[in-house]
Amino acid sequence: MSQVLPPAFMMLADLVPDWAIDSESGRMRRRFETPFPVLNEFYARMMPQIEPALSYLATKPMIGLSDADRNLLLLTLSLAEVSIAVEKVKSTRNADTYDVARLEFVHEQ
Amino acid sequence: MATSLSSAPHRWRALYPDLGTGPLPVETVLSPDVFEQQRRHVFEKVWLQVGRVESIAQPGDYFVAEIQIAKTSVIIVRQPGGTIGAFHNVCMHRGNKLAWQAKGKCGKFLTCNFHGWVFDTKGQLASVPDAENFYDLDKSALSLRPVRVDVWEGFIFINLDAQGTETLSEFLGELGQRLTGYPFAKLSTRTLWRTQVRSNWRLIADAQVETYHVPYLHHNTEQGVFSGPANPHAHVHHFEAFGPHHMISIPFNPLAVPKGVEALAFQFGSSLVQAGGRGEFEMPEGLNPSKASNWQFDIYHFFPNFNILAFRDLYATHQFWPLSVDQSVWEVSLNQPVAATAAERFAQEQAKCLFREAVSEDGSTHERTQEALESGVLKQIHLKDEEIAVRHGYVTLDRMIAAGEAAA
Repeated sequence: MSQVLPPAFMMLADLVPDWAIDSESGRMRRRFETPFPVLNEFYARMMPQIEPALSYLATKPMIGLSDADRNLLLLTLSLAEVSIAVEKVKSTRNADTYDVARLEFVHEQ
Repeated sequence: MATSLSSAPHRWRALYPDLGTGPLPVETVLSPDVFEQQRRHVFEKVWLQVGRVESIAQPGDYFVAEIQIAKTSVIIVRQPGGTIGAFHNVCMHRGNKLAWQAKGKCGKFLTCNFHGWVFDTKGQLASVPDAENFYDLDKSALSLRPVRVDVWEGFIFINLDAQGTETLSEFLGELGQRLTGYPFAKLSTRTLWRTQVRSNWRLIADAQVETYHVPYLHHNTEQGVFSGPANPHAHVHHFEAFGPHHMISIPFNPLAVPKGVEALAFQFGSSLVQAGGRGEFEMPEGLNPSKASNWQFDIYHFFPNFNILAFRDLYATHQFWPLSVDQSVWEVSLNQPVAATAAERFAQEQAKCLFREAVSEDGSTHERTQEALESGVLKQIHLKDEEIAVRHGYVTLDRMIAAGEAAA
């Protein structure tokens, strides 16, 4: 059976079920349904590992990613989403902004 | 040399005195009569962007453009040999919609779901079930009704005016030339969001051609990115009108330093809010026309309802489709390079999430402004000199409607 994450990043394995989400709309929905303290916890868990993780992922071509590498990438993509809330908005969402639940994702990555 | 950050308070009036300086009437946004004039004299007359060539790469690939303001639906289809055809989405038998899906692959033929009439991708009626039961059926006269179509830099434009003679190239004029050679096809990693907004289309469009709002509305996402001590109100580097179209060139605060995850994104790929990205691609000479060192991106407005935001290694688009005087569809795309590594993919995601957040901030005003204007309190809106692109949009609409009414 393949590993959930590359060996050097197994300390993040418990985050995979909730945060390794393979669509932008899915990651966005997860952010907006998650209380801010939980977003902060995810951010705090990810940040100490993010530079080594990105240095590692910089050696991995997108074509032919292993499942473990892909899970690590998906965690970093969730961090990209969550970091907007934690670093910039300072809450899960700015209640004044357009309700992104009204966005239809016509094409997404 | 046209340059950056002029301190002259009315620099654009000096260059474009014919656009005027007075307040503008809110009827442009609120009046059903004006909306009807916009339909007749603008949307049914000019070239409208409807999609990219890559979305219909193979013969038989098609998509449907619903142009609700013109009460019409248009099939855009890739034909054998690579040409692109556009036809009104109306079966020539009893008027059923021919294509029901937003996009698809039809092979060599489009077949009506109602009675099985078959049209080829050139629009010709190829087959009619039980044809001998009709009276004097002349298949050659029952081709799908064509719509004029042309392509600029991979963007497909249609023109609903069957009698019109202006070519797409003539319509785009110098605006088209400025961006010729931009690597649109290489920036093929596409995200497209769509949403229906209860506001007039102008309210959505107007927010996308001025930087006045950035330090206020975008204080969370773009704090100190556009504006800084040297340019506290984010005055643009450049404004230029090209007939009905225009462009503005967006500044960057050289003191802005990305932090946290954004800084990592820039380290491993490219962040949205870095000065123009990393410069991986050849750019047309026309980009960043003032050649400002603290250039971020240019916004090119293709009258009446399409904008391209051209960065150095990604581009975004906005499109504003009127449905009715107080309902619109707003489509936003972000187009990035194909990520080579997984770390680069992360950097792209950070840029995309930040862009989406900023767009949702933009979106916060449209329905509120619509509602407030509907109260009738304001009869006019006031624009400053730096909001000249908004003014240019209104003046252009007024002029086109006046010319259309005069010719009617």
